[in-house]
Amino acid sequence: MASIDGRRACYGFAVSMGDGGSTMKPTRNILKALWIGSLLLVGGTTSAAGQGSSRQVLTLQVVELNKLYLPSLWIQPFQHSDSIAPHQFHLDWICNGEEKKITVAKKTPGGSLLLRANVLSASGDVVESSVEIRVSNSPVDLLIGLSRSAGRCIIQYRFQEKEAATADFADAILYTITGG
Amino acid sequence: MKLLVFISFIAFITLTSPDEVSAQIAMDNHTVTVSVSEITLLQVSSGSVNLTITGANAVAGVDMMSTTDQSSSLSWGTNGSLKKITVQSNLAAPLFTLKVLALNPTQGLASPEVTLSSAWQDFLLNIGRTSGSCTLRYTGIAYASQGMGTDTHSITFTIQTQ
Repeated sequence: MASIDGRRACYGFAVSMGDGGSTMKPTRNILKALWIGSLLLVGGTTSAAGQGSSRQVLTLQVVELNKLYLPSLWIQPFQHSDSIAPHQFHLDWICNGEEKKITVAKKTPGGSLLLRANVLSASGDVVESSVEIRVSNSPVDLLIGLSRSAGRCIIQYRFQEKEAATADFADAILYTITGG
Repeated sequence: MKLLVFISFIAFITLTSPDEVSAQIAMDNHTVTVSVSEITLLQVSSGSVNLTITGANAVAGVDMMSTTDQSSSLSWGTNGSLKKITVQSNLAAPLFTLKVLALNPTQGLASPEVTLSSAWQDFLLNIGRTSGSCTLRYTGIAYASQGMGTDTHSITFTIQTQ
Protein backbone atom coordinates (compact mmCIF):
# COMPACT_ATOMS: atom_id res chain seq x y z
CA MET A 1 0.00 0.00 0.00
CA ALA A 2 2.99 2.26 0.46
CA SER A 3 3.45 2.61 -3.26
CA ILE A 4 -0.25 3.36 -3.71
CA ASP A 5 0.05 6.21 -1.23
CA GLY A 6 3.05 7.42 -3.13
CA ARG A 7 1.06 7.60 -6.33
CA ARG A 8 -1.66 9.48 -4.58
CA ALA A 9 0.84 12.07 -3.47
CA CYS A 10 2.17 12.22 -6.97
CA TYR A 11 -1.19 13.02 -8.43
CA GLY A 12 -1.48 16.12 -6.20
CA PHE A 13 -5.19 16.31 -6.82
CA ALA A 14 -6.76 19.01 -4.62
CA VAL A 15 -10.33 20.19 -4.16
CA SER A 16 -10.97 23.25 -2.04
CA MET A 17 -14.53 23.90 -0.98
CA GLY A 18 -16.44 26.63 0.73
CA ASP A 19 -19.58 26.16 2.76
CA GLY A 20 -22.10 23.52 1.98
CA GLY A 21 -19.55 20.69 2.07
CA SER A 22 -22.24 18.14 2.66
CA THR A 23 -23.83 18.90 -0.70
CA MET A 24 -20.41 18.26 -2.34
CA LYS A 25 -20.01 14.72 -1.03
CA PRO A 26 -21.38 12.97 -4.12
CA THR A 27 -19.11 15.01 -6.37
CA ARG A 28 -16.11 14.32 -4.19
CA ASN A 29 -16.84 10.62 -4.16
CA ILE A 30 -17.10 10.57 -7.94
CA LEU A 31 -13.79 12.38 -8.27
CA LYS A 32 -12.19 9.98 -5.82
CA ALA A 33 -13.52 6.98 -7.72
CA LEU A 34 -12.27 8.37 -11.01
CA TRP A 35 -8.88 9.00 -9.50
CA ILE A 36 -8.56 5.50 -8.05
CA GLY A 37 -9.79 4.04 -11.32
CA SER A 38 -7.11 5.86 -13.27
CA LEU A 39 -4.50 4.56 -10.83
CA LEU A 40 -5.65 1.01 -11.36
CA LEU A 41 -5.71 1.51 -15.12
CA VAL A 42 -2.22 2.92 -15.35
CA GLY A 43 -0.43 1.24 -12.51
CA GLY A 44 -2.46 -1.85 -11.86
CA THR A 45 0.43 -4.25 -12.29
CA THR A 46 2.82 -5.55 -9.72
CA SER A 47 6.27 -4.65 -8.57
CA ALA A 48 8.76 -1.96 -8.27
CA ALA A 49 8.66 1.74 -7.64
CA GLY A 50 5.94 4.13 -8.75
CA GLN A 51 5.75 7.72 -9.85
CA GLY A 52 8.05 8.85 -12.65
CA SER A 53 10.51 6.00 -12.61
CA SER A 54 10.52 2.25 -12.28
CA ARG A 55 13.27 -0.28 -11.80
CA GLN A 56 13.86 -3.83 -12.93
CA VAL A 57 16.69 -6.20 -12.09
CA LEU A 58 17.95 -8.20 -15.05
CA THR A 59 20.43 -11.02 -14.74
CA LEU A 60 22.32 -12.08 -17.85
CA GLN A 61 24.20 -15.32 -17.36
CA VAL A 62 26.50 -17.03 -19.84
CA VAL A 63 27.18 -20.65 -18.94
CA GLU A 64 29.93 -22.85 -20.30
CA LEU A 65 29.12 -24.16 -23.73
CA ASN A 66 30.81 -26.35 -26.28
CA LYS A 67 29.38 -27.10 -29.67
CA LEU A 68 30.55 -28.87 -32.81
CA TYR A 69 29.09 -29.19 -36.25
CA LEU A 70 30.13 -31.60 -38.96
CA PRO A 71 28.13 -33.02 -41.84
CA SER A 72 27.29 -36.60 -42.57
CA LEU A 73 29.45 -37.97 -45.31
CA TRP A 74 28.84 -40.38 -48.11
CA ILE A 75 32.22 -41.49 -49.33
CA GLN A 76 33.31 -43.64 -52.19
CA PRO A 77 36.98 -43.99 -51.38
CA PHE A 78 38.29 -45.56 -54.56
CA GLN A 79 35.93 -44.31 -57.18
CA HIS A 80 38.66 -42.76 -59.25
CA SER A 81 41.48 -44.85 -60.72
CA ASP A 82 44.00 -46.03 -58.22
CA SER A 83 44.06 -43.02 -55.99
CA ILE A 84 43.85 -43.20 -52.29
CA ALA A 85 41.26 -40.49 -52.46
CA PRO A 86 41.07 -37.83 -49.81
CA HIS A 87 37.64 -36.74 -48.71
CA GLN A 88 37.26 -33.58 -46.77
CA PHE A 89 34.67 -31.55 -44.95
CA HIS A 90 34.43 -28.57 -42.66
CA LEU A 91 34.38 -28.98 -38.91
CA ASP A 92 32.99 -25.98 -36.98
CA TRP A 93 33.22 -25.40 -33.27
CA ILE A 94 32.50 -22.92 -30.53
CA CYS A 95 33.61 -23.06 -26.91
CA ASN A 96 33.79 -20.33 -24.29
CA GLY A 97 35.85 -22.21 -21.74
CA GLU A 98 39.59 -22.30 -21.26
CA GLU A 99 42.01 -24.95 -22.52
CA LYS A 100 39.81 -27.09 -24.71
CA LYS A 101 40.63 -29.65 -27.37
CA ILE A 102 38.78 -31.71 -29.96
CA THR A 103 39.29 -35.44 -29.89
CA VAL A 104 38.23 -38.10 -32.34
CA ALA A 105 37.38 -41.75 -31.90
CA LYS A 106 35.75 -44.57 -33.83
CA LYS A 107 33.22 -46.33 -31.65
CA THR A 108 31.96 -48.98 -34.04
CA PRO A 109 33.95 -51.51 -36.05
CA GLY A 110 32.35 -50.34 -39.31
CA GLY A 111 34.51 -51.09 -42.31
CA SER A 112 37.94 -52.49 -42.25
CA LEU A 113 39.54 -49.53 -44.02
CA LEU A 114 42.23 -47.79 -42.11
CA LEU A 115 41.29 -44.16 -41.82
CA ARG A 116 43.51 -41.19 -41.23
CA ALA A 117 42.28 -37.65 -40.46
CA ASN A 118 44.38 -34.64 -41.36
CA VAL A 119 43.51 -31.19 -40.05
CA LEU A 120 43.91 -28.37 -42.57
CA SER A 121 43.38 -24.62 -42.48
CA ALA A 122 42.40 -24.34 -38.83
CA SER A 123 41.42 -20.85 -37.71
CA GLY A 124 43.06 -19.06 -34.84
CA ASP A 125 46.00 -20.47 -32.91
CA VAL A 126 44.77 -24.02 -33.02
CA VAL A 127 47.46 -26.67 -33.41
CA GLU A 128 46.80 -28.90 -36.43
CA SER A 129 47.57 -32.58 -36.44
CA SER A 130 47.17 -35.78 -38.37
CA VAL A 131 45.85 -38.82 -36.59
CA GLU A 132 44.97 -42.38 -37.37
CA ILE A 133 41.40 -43.21 -36.44
CA ARG A 134 41.10 -46.68 -34.95
CA VAL A 135 38.34 -48.42 -33.09
CA SER A 136 39.16 -47.60 -29.53
CA ASN A 137 37.70 -46.37 -26.30
CA SER A 138 40.52 -43.88 -26.05
CA PRO A 139 39.94 -40.86 -28.23
CA VAL A 140 42.97 -39.22 -29.79
CA ASP A 141 43.64 -35.50 -29.83
CA LEU A 142 42.84 -33.91 -33.16
CA LEU A 143 42.87 -30.19 -32.35
CA ILE A 144 44.42 -28.70 -29.27
CA GLY A 145 44.76 -25.19 -27.97
CA LEU A 146 41.12 -24.21 -28.31
CA SER A 147 40.25 -21.50 -25.83
CA ARG A 148 37.26 -19.17 -25.86
CA SER A 149 36.85 -19.34 -29.58
CA ALA A 150 34.67 -20.15 -32.50
CA GLY A 151 36.42 -21.53 -35.52
CA ARG A 152 36.56 -23.84 -38.46
CA CYS A 153 38.97 -26.26 -40.02
CA ILE A 154 39.02 -28.77 -42.82
CA ILE A 155 39.20 -32.42 -41.93
CA GLN A 156 40.62 -34.58 -44.66
CA TYR A 157 40.12 -38.33 -44.52
CA ARG A 158 42.56 -40.61 -46.22
CA PHE A 159 41.98 -44.32 -46.63
CA GLN A 160 45.05 -46.41 -46.40
CA GLU A 161 43.96 -49.90 -47.40
CA LYS A 162 42.60 -50.05 -50.89
CA GLU A 163 42.08 -53.76 -51.12
CA ALA A 164 39.58 -53.90 -48.27
CA ALA A 165 36.95 -51.75 -49.99
CA THR A 166 34.47 -54.33 -51.11
CA ALA A 167 31.09 -53.26 -49.76
CA ASP A 168 29.18 -50.33 -48.32
CA PHE A 169 29.53 -49.80 -44.62
CA ALA A 170 28.87 -47.09 -42.04
CA ASP A 171 31.40 -45.81 -39.59
CA ALA A 172 30.40 -43.75 -36.56
CA ILE A 173 33.24 -41.38 -35.85
CA LEU A 174 32.86 -39.32 -32.73
CA TYR A 175 34.29 -35.84 -32.35
CA THR A 176 34.27 -34.31 -28.86
CA ILE A 177 35.22 -30.99 -27.30
CA THR A 178 36.73 -31.66 -23.95
CA GLY A 179 39.01 -30.12 -21.38
CA GLY A 180 42.56 -29.92 -22.61
CA MET B 1 -67.64 42.86 -8.13
CA LYS B 2 -66.09 42.56 -4.68
CA LEU B 3 -64.63 39.23 -5.69
CA LEU B 4 -63.06 40.72 -8.82
CA VAL B 5 -61.47 43.51 -6.78
CA PHE B 6 -60.07 40.98 -4.28
CA ILE B 7 -58.49 38.81 -6.97
CA SER B 8 -56.94 41.85 -8.63
CA PHE B 9 -55.45 42.89 -5.32
CA ILE B 10 -53.86 39.48 -4.72
CA ALA B 11 -52.44 39.43 -8.23
CA PHE B 12 -50.94 42.86 -7.76
CA ILE B 13 -49.26 41.89 -4.49
CA THR B 14 -47.81 38.75 -6.03
CA LEU B 15 -46.34 40.44 -9.07
CA THR B 16 -44.89 43.43 -7.27
CA SER B 17 -43.16 41.63 -4.34
CA PRO B 18 -40.66 39.12 -5.84
CA ASP B 19 -38.18 39.51 -2.95
CA GLU B 20 -40.65 38.31 -0.45
CA VAL B 21 -41.42 35.27 -2.57
CA SER B 22 -37.78 34.37 -3.18
CA ALA B 23 -36.98 34.69 0.49
CA GLN B 24 -38.67 31.38 0.98
CA ILE B 25 -36.08 29.50 -1.36
CA ALA B 26 -32.55 28.98 0.07
CA MET B 27 -29.78 29.89 -2.37
CA ASP B 28 -26.00 29.98 -1.93
CA ASN B 29 -22.86 29.52 -3.99
CA HIS B 30 -19.23 28.58 -3.51
CA THR B 31 -16.00 28.32 -5.50
CA VAL B 32 -14.55 24.94 -6.36
CA THR B 33 -10.91 24.90 -7.46
CA VAL B 34 -9.59 21.73 -9.03
CA SER B 35 -5.82 21.64 -9.31
CA VAL B 36 -4.12 18.85 -11.26
CA SER B 37 -0.38 18.90 -10.96
CA GLU B 38 1.96 17.17 -13.38
CA ILE B 39 1.61 13.41 -13.21
CA THR B 40 4.27 10.96 -14.27
CA LEU B 41 3.64 7.34 -13.49
CA LEU B 42 5.79 4.47 -14.68
CA GLN B 43 5.83 0.81 -13.77
CA VAL B 44 7.41 -2.43 -14.99
CA SER B 45 5.31 -5.57 -14.83
CA SER B 46 8.01 -7.68 -13.23
CA GLY B 47 10.72 -6.81 -10.77
CA SER B 48 13.22 -9.28 -12.21
CA VAL B 49 14.13 -10.90 -15.51
CA ASN B 50 16.62 -13.69 -16.12
CA LEU B 51 18.45 -14.26 -19.38
CA THR B 52 20.76 -17.23 -19.89
CA ILE B 53 22.94 -17.99 -22.86
CA THR B 54 23.46 -21.71 -23.27
CA GLY B 55 24.52 -24.07 -26.00
CA ALA B 56 21.04 -23.73 -27.46
CA ASN B 57 21.88 -20.13 -28.34
CA ALA B 58 25.19 -20.99 -29.99
CA VAL B 59 26.07 -21.96 -33.52
CA ALA B 60 29.29 -23.86 -34.11
CA GLY B 61 31.75 -21.70 -35.98
CA VAL B 62 30.00 -18.43 -35.08
CA ASP B 63 31.57 -16.38 -32.30
CA MET B 64 28.47 -14.41 -31.33
CA MET B 65 25.68 -15.88 -29.22
CA SER B 66 22.45 -14.20 -28.25
CA THR B 67 19.22 -14.75 -26.41
CA THR B 68 16.04 -12.68 -25.99
CA ASP B 69 13.32 -12.19 -23.41
CA GLN B 70 9.92 -10.59 -23.87
CA SER B 71 8.30 -11.62 -20.62
CA SER B 72 7.88 -8.18 -19.08
CA SER B 73 6.21 -4.94 -20.03
CA LEU B 74 6.30 -1.26 -19.15
CA SER B 75 3.20 0.82 -18.38
CA TRP B 76 3.10 4.58 -18.03
CA GLY B 77 0.81 7.53 -17.63
CA THR B 78 1.50 11.23 -17.80
CA ASN B 79 -0.47 14.41 -18.28
CA GLY B 80 2.55 16.47 -19.25
CA SER B 81 3.37 17.43 -22.78
CA LEU B 82 6.59 16.68 -24.64
CA LYS B 83 7.52 13.70 -22.53
CA LYS B 84 9.81 10.78 -23.22
CA ILE B 85 10.92 7.65 -21.41
CA THR B 86 14.61 7.10 -20.87
CA VAL B 87 16.49 4.04 -19.69
CA GLN B 88 19.72 3.40 -17.83
CA SER B 89 21.63 0.53 -16.22
CA ASN B 90 23.64 0.77 -13.04
CA LEU B 91 26.44 -1.31 -14.59
CA ALA B 92 29.18 0.88 -15.98
CA ALA B 93 31.26 -1.99 -17.35
CA PRO B 94 29.18 -5.12 -17.96
CA LEU B 95 30.88 -8.27 -19.24
CA PHE B 96 28.31 -8.80 -21.97
CA THR B 97 26.12 -6.66 -24.19
CA LEU B 98 22.51 -6.09 -23.19
CA LYS B 99 20.02 -4.37 -25.47
CA VAL B 100 16.42 -3.33 -24.91
CA LEU B 101 13.66 -2.36 -27.33
CA ALA B 102 10.14 -1.03 -26.76
CA LEU B 103 8.05 -3.52 -28.67
CA ASN B 104 4.58 -2.54 -29.94
CA PRO B 105 4.12 0.66 -27.90
CA THR B 106 0.47 1.73 -27.67
CA GLN B 107 1.62 5.36 -27.62
CA GLY B 108 4.77 7.17 -28.62
CA LEU B 109 7.63 6.34 -30.90
CA ALA B 110 10.09 3.60 -29.96
CA SER B 111 13.78 4.40 -30.26
CA PRO B 112 15.98 1.97 -32.14
CA GLU B 113 17.23 -0.86 -29.96
CA VAL B 114 19.21 0.63 -27.08
CA THR B 115 22.49 -0.86 -25.86
CA LEU B 116 22.25 -0.40 -22.12
CA SER B 117 24.92 1.54 -20.30
CA SER B 118 25.20 3.76 -17.26
CA ALA B 119 24.23 6.77 -19.38
CA TRP B 120 20.58 7.75 -19.79
CA GLN B 121 19.32 6.94 -23.27
CA ASP B 122 16.05 7.60 -25.05
CA PHE B 123 13.71 4.63 -25.03
CA LEU B 124 10.33 6.03 -26.10
CA LEU B 125 9.64 9.48 -27.54
CA ASN B 126 6.50 11.63 -27.77
CA ILE B 127 4.43 9.93 -25.11
CA GLY B 128 2.86 13.15 -23.81
CA ARG B 129 -0.56 13.28 -22.14
CA THR B 130 -1.34 9.61 -22.44
CA SER B 131 -1.21 6.33 -20.69
CA GLY B 132 0.24 3.43 -22.56
CA SER B 133 2.31 0.31 -22.46
CA CYS B 134 4.86 -1.65 -24.42
CA THR B 135 6.56 -5.01 -24.25
CA LEU B 136 10.18 -4.95 -23.11
CA ARG B 137 12.35 -6.99 -25.42
CA TYR B 138 15.77 -7.66 -23.94
CA THR B 139 18.57 -9.16 -26.00
CA GLY B 140 21.70 -10.49 -24.36
CA ILE B 141 24.76 -10.89 -26.57
CA ALA B 142 28.00 -12.66 -25.73
CA TYR B 143 31.02 -13.80 -27.69
CA ALA B 144 32.86 -17.06 -27.12
CA SER B 145 35.99 -15.02 -26.59
CA GLN B 146 34.33 -13.30 -23.61
CA GLY B 147 34.07 -16.55 -21.72
CA MET B 148 31.50 -17.21 -19.01
CA GLY B 149 30.04 -15.00 -16.33
CA THR B 150 27.05 -13.13 -14.97
CA ASP B 151 25.95 -9.51 -15.24
CA THR B 152 23.30 -8.25 -12.84
CA HIS B 153 21.77 -5.02 -14.11
CA SER B 154 19.50 -2.72 -12.18
CA ILE B 155 17.62 -1.06 -15.03
CA THR B 156 15.77 2.19 -14.42
CA PHE B 157 13.11 3.69 -16.67
CA THR B 158 12.22 7.35 -16.16
CA ILE B 159 9.77 9.80 -17.68
CA GLN B 160 11.53 13.02 -18.63
CA THR B 161 10.80 16.16 -20.57
CA GLN B 162 11.95 15.98 -24.19
